[in-house]
Amino acid sequence: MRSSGLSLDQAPPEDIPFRFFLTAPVFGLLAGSLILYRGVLVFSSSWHFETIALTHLITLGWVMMIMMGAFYQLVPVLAGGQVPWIALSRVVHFFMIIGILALAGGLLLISPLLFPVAIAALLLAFTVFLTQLLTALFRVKANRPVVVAMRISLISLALAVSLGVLEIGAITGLWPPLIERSIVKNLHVTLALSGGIGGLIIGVGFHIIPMFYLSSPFPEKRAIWILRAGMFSLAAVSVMLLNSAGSVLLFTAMLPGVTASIIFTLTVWQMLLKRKRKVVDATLRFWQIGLLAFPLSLLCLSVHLFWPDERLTFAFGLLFLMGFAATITNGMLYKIVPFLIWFHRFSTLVGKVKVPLLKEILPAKRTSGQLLQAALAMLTLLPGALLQIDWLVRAGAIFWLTSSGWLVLNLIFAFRQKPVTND
Amino acid sequence: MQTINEYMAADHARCDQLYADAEAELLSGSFEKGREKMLAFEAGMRRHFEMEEAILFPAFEEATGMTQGPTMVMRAEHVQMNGILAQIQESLEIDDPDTTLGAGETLLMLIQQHNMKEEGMLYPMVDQQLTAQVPDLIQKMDAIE
Repeated sequence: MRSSGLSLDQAPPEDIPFRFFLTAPVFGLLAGSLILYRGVLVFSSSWHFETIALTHLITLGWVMMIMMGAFYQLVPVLAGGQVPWIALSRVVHFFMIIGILALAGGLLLISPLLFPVAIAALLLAFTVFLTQLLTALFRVKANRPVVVAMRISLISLALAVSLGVLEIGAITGLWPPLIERSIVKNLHVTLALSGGIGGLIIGVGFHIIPMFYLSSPFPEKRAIWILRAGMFSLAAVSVMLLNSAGSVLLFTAMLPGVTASIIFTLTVWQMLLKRKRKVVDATLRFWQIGLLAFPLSLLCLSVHLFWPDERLTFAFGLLFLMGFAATITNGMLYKIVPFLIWFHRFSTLVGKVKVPLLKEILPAKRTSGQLLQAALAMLTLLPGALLQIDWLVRAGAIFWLTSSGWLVLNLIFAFRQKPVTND
Repeated sequence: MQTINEYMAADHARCDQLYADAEAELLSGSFEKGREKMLAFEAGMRRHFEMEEAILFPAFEEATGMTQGPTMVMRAEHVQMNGILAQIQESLEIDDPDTTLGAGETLLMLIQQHNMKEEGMLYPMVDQQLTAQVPDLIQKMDAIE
């Protein structure tokens, strides 16, 4: 084991995860505004530029922002690897914002000038991010399930970003299309969502559930099996997509991954039910909503293979992105942010001055109120998109806006907690 | 043969259970029982600190020569945890279950990330570097009241 340079205090400076975390709900506000402005029209075709813009405001703007902050924060603690060139993370954050705004702006305004900016900024941000994290994770000798899951996530993201860039370049006419558009799209979505987002949430879930809720540990053999099945499906589905395979073959390729996801969901659900701590907080509810939405999203995806109705694509997108990914990341912010503030600003003052408790850094009343808005947003957007009811979609947008705005305010409230100085 | 990681992780789990029991009593409103169980948790924590600070850490430091490394960070976190344990004790004395629960929650987060670092890095290092001494270390730690 590499012991030189091993320090147990490798956490990045507090501003690094926080800048990513706070940006996420701001993009949530932009996404909500777009839904409110366009209503049910954003749920008419998954090829529409405004629908693609909306999707990326959520995937890159919300989910990826929190994932990046979490990677920087969690890799040292969960995997024991130091993230190199940590100061560059601020550059990553800056270019992510530029890239996402240029991408969404280019798609919404159909402005070809913005696409090269989006390509350059996102490529730069992801290249630096992936180099930092892959370096850290491949230096770690231990092959704990979380490390494997994080590697799967990062490699999937690298491939998904490359495909995305190829596609924008082809749309803009920077270079000719290499592969058929629908293949690029399906491959991009598969890698980004199941490998990139699913991989990280599942991997982190193995450790975070026992840690936060004092449940039994996630069975290690099962965790390894889940990751193997997931990797197999990811590879098999990619090959099938590249060969334009039919629905039955695609479904067969998906099956091990879908089964593994369901086993993950059932295991975590059981662990939460049998947890030692009886206390119920908003973060637990966020996990439970996410764990309900996850298998439902996979059901929509599977049915869509045999019954290709676009509405099922939107149901899948809403359930997976807003119901599962955004919800779980939202809940985790409420566990991680107050603790990081406490840890960075107050931990060394314990016993010397009166320090606030976690519940004072972020009171439960604030988080449960936002949870309700997030749940209402899902409950209105989903039937609104499925049944194509404009007012329901717009009502959902208002709940989503309220929820995102509330999260911004809650995070700011927590960030403002500072030790009182006497001088 | 039991490893240090297994032995110490089991003690972490034991302390976790003591905390969960105390928290459940306080949440259900039975303050007296809650106080009793919280004190049992506190005793469990202090015993665990002693196992590490009196036996495990010195053995690791002597074998590796690393006195400014992981054990230093772990000791510093023990000081922080002791500070919050004192706050819990004060709140128990003045019959203030809300503060006990709030301080408990804060302490628990600190404990969990601390344990993760120990179980993920420090204990495996001990098992690897002090393999021959493991049974003896466990015996000595077991003897602590």
